[in-house]
Amino acid sequence: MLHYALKRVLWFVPILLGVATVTFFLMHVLPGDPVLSMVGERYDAATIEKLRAQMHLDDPLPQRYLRYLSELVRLDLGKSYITGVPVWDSIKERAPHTLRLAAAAMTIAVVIGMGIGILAAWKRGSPLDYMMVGGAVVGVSMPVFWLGVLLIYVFSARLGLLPASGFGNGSIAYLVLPALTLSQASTAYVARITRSSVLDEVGENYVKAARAKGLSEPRLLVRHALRNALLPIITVVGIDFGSYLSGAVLTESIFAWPGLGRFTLDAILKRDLPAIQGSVLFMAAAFMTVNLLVDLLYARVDPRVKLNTGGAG
Amino acid sequence: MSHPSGVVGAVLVGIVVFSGLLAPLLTHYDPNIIDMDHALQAPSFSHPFGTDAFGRDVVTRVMYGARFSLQVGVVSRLIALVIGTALGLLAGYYGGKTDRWIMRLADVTLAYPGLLLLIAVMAAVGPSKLALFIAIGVVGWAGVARLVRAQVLTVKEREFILAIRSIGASDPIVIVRHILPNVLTPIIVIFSMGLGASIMAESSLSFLGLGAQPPTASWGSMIASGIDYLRVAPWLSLAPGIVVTLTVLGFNLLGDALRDLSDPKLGRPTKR
Repeated sequence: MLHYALKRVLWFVPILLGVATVTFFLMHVLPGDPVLSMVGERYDAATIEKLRAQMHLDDPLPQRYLRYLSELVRLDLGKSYITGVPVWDSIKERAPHTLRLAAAAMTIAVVIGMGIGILAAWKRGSPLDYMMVGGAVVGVSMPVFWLGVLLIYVFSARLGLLPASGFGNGSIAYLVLPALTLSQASTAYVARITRSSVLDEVGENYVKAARAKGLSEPRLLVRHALRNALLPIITVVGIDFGSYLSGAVLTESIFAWPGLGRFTLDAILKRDLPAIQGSVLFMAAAFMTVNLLVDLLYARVDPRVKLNTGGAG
Repeated sequence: MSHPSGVVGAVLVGIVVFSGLLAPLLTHYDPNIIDMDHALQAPSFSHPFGTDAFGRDVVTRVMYGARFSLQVGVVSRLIALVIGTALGLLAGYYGGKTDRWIMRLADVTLAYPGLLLLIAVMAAVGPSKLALFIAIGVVGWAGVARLVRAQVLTVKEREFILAIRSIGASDPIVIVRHILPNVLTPIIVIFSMGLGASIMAESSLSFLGLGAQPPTASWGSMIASGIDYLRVAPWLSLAPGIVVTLTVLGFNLLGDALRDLSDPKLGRPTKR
């Protein structure tokens, strides 16, 4: 297991290098000038020339790529074109906020999604089941940003229960709506997977045996069927982490949440190249780490799973 | 028909397509003309979803928004389909190195957070309808390629293909005339399933200000501009939001139904 984990971590290096390279060339090949977005409407040619030279933007592309890589090797992500703040400092400041939001959303997705899924499996074929399955289908079809707006309307504008946006020094009240918004697609997905995997297990002999023993239905589902249904559920939650990163961009901009998603969006809009490269790289690393943790957890939950030490995974 | 949820999907899609196509006949309001005398009116008989901050009828703009979203959805999906099908056919038919390179490219495309890539492209080339077509289309090719490749792998081993090849048919003829028609059904299914996702992508970009530009009516930008009026005129955001959800729902249900009806064994794509 340790051997496997080490090997996977070593694979991070070439993959991250690939992501860095793709991002670098994508941002430099596409039209648009970071200097123009820096100076804005009022500019004179001399200032622009000076800035371009300062930022090495006139150097040939291969040379700039090599410079970027050599900085990267020294773990230097560069400074923001716009604010001059080192990108790594901004990421360190903002990542915990996004992590907190994602963790809250994931908890909601797992608790509520599994709850709904088990309930639907228990009452299978009943109106309650149809309602929950239908709700999950609608949930997947609802754009993230639209749910955010809807929640703000109901809980903030109408009921006045929760703040509409902002961070509020980290108080829980400010976390509730963004976390619910971010969790929506996952919750629906987890509910669907939980229901179908629990129902798959219900047909198995060991569940029939447990039922013959006289175990009550909810107990049967939770203690036996659910335990074996955990594997697909974990996979879904892990795969979904990628969608949290995309979702965070929208959620954080609706709720003015000072996280990495908003940071990346602002950086892209202003063509702040170092900030874009840094945050995309950081997100890719986070995504791979979560995938690795999921795979390790996998082997823990189901001893039948053999970790394949051969490939990149 | 034996598929009730598919019928619901077809009806929802039908309503949206119908009102998008016939928008100029269904409403006598103009989607873009500003009429400040009637700004922010509450829903009434003459304005069922009220009017926006510029006095424009919300129902009318939602209908014209359907035109925009459907156009972007269909064209970008077609682009994804053409690229994905071509590369999927090549990868599946030739195998070996061709297959490996194309599939690695697909993996990289799928590994990248899709929305971030779209935002980057739109921010760089500037928002326009053409940019939306191409960006959403190009990002969506990978899923199609995977599916087509998998289908080709099973078709190419069938006896009639071996027979045609043994009488000396060239590769392009075999691929286009004999393999393509046999993988067409799953391609149609994935087209419908992907339409919902494309429309969702378009409205997300428009919501962020990177898609449709004012005064063009688009669901995403209508929701965004309504946020400032949530307390006084909630219908500005609520109406287009309900319509996007129902539209995406319609395409998802329809896609699921087509999949079930065409081939129960056809897997769900891993990306939502």
